[in-house]
Amino acid sequence: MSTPTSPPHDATHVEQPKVSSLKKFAAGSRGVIRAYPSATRIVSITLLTFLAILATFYISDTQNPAIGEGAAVAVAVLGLTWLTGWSGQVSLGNSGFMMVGAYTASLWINHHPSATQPSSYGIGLVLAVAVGAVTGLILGLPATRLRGPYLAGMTIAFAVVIPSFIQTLSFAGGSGGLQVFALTPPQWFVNFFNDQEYGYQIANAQWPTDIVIAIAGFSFLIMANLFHSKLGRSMRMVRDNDVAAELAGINLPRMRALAFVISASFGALGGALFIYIANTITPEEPFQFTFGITLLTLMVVGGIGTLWGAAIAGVVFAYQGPWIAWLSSHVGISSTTNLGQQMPNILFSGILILTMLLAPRGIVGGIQDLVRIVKKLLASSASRSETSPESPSDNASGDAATHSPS
Amino acid sequence: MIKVENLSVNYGAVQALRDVSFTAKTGVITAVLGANGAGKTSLLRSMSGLVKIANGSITIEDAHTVMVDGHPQSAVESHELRGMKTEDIARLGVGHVPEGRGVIAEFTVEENLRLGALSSKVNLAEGLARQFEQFPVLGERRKQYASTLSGGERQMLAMARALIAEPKVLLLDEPSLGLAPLVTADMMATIRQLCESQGLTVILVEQNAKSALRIAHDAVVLHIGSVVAAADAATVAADDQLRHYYLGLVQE
Amino acid sequence: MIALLASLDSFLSSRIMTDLFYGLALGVIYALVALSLVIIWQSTHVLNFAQGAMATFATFVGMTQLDRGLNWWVCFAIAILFGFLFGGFTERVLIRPLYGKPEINPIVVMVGLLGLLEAIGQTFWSSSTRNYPAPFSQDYWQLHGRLVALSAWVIFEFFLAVVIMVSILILFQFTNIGLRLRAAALAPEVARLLGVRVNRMLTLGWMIASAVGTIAAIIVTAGTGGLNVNVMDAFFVSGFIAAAIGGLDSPVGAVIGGIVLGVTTDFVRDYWSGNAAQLTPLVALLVVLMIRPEGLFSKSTTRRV
Ligand SMILES: Nc1ncnc2c1ncn2[C@@H]1O[C@H](COP(=O)(O)OP(=O)(O)OP(=O)(O)O)[C@@H](O)[C@H]1O
Ligand SMILES: [Mg+2]
Repeated sequence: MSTPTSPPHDATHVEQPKVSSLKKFAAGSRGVIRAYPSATRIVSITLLTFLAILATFYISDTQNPAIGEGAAVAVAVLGLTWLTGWSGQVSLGNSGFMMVGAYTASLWINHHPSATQPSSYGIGLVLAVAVGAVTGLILGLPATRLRGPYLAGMTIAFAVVIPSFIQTLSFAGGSGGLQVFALTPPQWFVNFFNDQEYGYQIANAQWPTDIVIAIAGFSFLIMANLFHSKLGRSMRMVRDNDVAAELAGINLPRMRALAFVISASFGALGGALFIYIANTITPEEPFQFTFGITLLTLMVVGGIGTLWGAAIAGVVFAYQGPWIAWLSSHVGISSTTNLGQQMPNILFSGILILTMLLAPRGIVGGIQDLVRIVKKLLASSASRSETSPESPSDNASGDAATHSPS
Repeated sequence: MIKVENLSVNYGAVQALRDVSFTAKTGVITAVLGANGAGKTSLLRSMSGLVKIANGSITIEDAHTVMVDGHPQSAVESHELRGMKTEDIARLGVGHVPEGRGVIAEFTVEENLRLGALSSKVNLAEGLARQFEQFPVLGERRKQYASTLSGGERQMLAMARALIAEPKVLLLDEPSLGLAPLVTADMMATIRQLCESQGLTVILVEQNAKSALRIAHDAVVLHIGSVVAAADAATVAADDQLRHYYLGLVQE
Repeated sequence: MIALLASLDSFLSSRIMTDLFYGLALGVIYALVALSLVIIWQSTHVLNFAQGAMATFATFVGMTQLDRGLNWWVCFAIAILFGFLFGGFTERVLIRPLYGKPEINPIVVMVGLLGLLEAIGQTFWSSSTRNYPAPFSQDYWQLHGRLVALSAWVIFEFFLAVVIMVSILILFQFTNIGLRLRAAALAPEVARLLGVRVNRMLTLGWMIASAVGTIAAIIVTAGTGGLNVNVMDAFFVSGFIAAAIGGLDSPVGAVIGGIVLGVTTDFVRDYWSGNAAQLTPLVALLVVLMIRPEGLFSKSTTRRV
């Protein structure tokens, strides 16, 4: 609420007085909101997406599905980032949204005659997003009236109840779950790998992954624009100071419910994409309620409230298998023992706790802090000014939920 | 006796107290005066260990008689408060009535008083009786929740809660706030009497310089975190410059 | 006289009473879990997501002693003691560094502890369900050939729950320790000024809560549940819902919420369907929270900002 210091590009917007003062307020209350020109945003995300797709051509086709799953999970983490990082509502139930999306898409594809048509997969995604949004609305309405632990508790109740509810639905396959046919690659993609027989195999592993990465990249684009839209700014205002936001004319309940709707849509999309690669879903696997904890871990480890955090989360998820196997073998834990099987959970939970206690801003936050320290060191060594170097921990200290986005 | 030496307190970049030194004598009321934001509350809070002390020291010297080889002998026990925990300072016998009363609204009057007596060796029943005698309203409302008390009644409760533990040092942050003048006068008389009879040391922060100077023995005047005067109350009250510039008192 | 007894038999074995007894047996467990959550919430404003996992872990520790052939009651005491100490350890090591931080931080840490405990539990004791013996017969009583949904074990369960609830009430409401505990929770700074060792009180709050949670877990596992790493997950959720319905800062609300939830769920199951019973707690939670977001028995009408 100090003097509004709006970033330069804000001056180019000419809007009604109320909105522009609101924007200035949002900018002022957060110190500075870094908003890249949208062209830069689009180009860099598109470029990174292309690089990721390109990378799949060099990665063994046994690893490729995991990459695709990582991309799908990144979309779901993006949804969580929006809800928790941007609107400040802690959710442990986003695995439930993933499950809803995955089941919706699977049901559509299973009950559709031309199941293997690419178009039905596309419609499946659209339906997943739509049903996810409705679910988000149902959960978001009571959520508008809840704070912190009540909200977190309600979302965890949702994540626990959804699987046991779906289990009772006979048309959803009960506890046996559903199967989804694998996406078949088009001929030109197979031809790319020359040899018909062998090429088909590679393409089979890679094509779904590439599609999922492309859609994930598109989701990142949408989210990046959401972050920097008027909605995104209002959302942050609600998070940082809801009283002030209300005074500025923001409809709090609508904002909070909307945050759930958007988050649930991304969660459902992520869930459906995940199933297009994993091909099997049951009430127990893979979106049991502990998956909500995994999502939270990934988001926290990556860095709450940033696009980079969600991207890193995807990479971590994709490579957790090999990394954990590598680590286990180096400390001499056999994967057949109880301990070996529990290694992923132990590591994930342990990392979650340690991150929160020691580096609550996650990997992205850590890098930002590092950059700040280096810059400060460079600046002070360059100018040799008499001002003593301030402790960087001042602004880097534990407030995981409040810091500037990337 | 409380000795405050070169005390500095910072809130981030804001320096609330700088190089504050004064002595509050045993059995004496020392008024701490100053405009809003002068650092009076910060001073009391640093004495209770509620805010971190950046520099300086606060020592309590407690003279009492001990038996050495069967002969009474006067001994001085001295405690450095800086770095001590708030609860340990309280257990040394430092009572603090915080700004804004700090009555626990969800507790009954009696529970508030019980809590006050809990960490001292005082007999609860006697203590309660004494406080109800001093503040009869509290006796009438002993089972009532503090949230239902009036502002003045809460102030009385806060005072009674500090007094019930029979502290050696009493830190009062604007105790007259919201009290009727008559009640204030009565309360101050009691406190002054406790000072004289039991050697209670009082540091009294007051907005109303005039009435504070009337009952205090000594006075310390703070201005933006620094001491501008520390003398006996009469001297301060007589100093036209102090009255005019720092205490906002006009010539009578 | 005989006619009266016979009608009592048929009354006790009626469908309504059977559901009531089933529901109560479930409800007191919810109530105990809710109570442990409320104690922690009141003292430190943390919702302990690892409550169930901590209690299960303590129960496993008791189980290892049962395996060594110790007496049931000794193991009961060992598990409770372990839960008590574990609660204190958790507060000191994991929660204390987070006071004053955004509320998401303790939530995330407790969720992390939940995952960690379940994973460690599985490496020690595998994921299979084991039988945990009960010290009393669990056979339902026959009254003149009619089945009454009560057993020696169920009576013990009720008795234990009542004893715990009453002791907690007395402890908090009528003892000096309780006064300190409440003061430390309600107004830590004022409590410190009055000489209350607030940090110890917060730790003690966690210890008591964790011990209560452990008792709930033992009742669950020695009842029909059997012992496995995830046995308390569902009970944690129901217990949380009960606490949220009652109001997270009201121990009495937690107990009433738990019992009402247990009984309601069982009536829905019997008179409607199992599917509906699955959704009952969530629906109950949503409805109550829509009407009164701070819970039915909460005293605080103002929202904490
Ligand atoms: N928690 C805090 N954080 C930052 N600054 C603070 C804090 N508490 C006090 N200050 C600042 O320190 C200075 C001294 O405050 P303090 O409360 O000690 O004043 P005071 O003399 O008690 O004023 P008043 O008579 O209004 O109660 C003020 O400038 C105030 O803004
Ligand atoms: Mg003050």
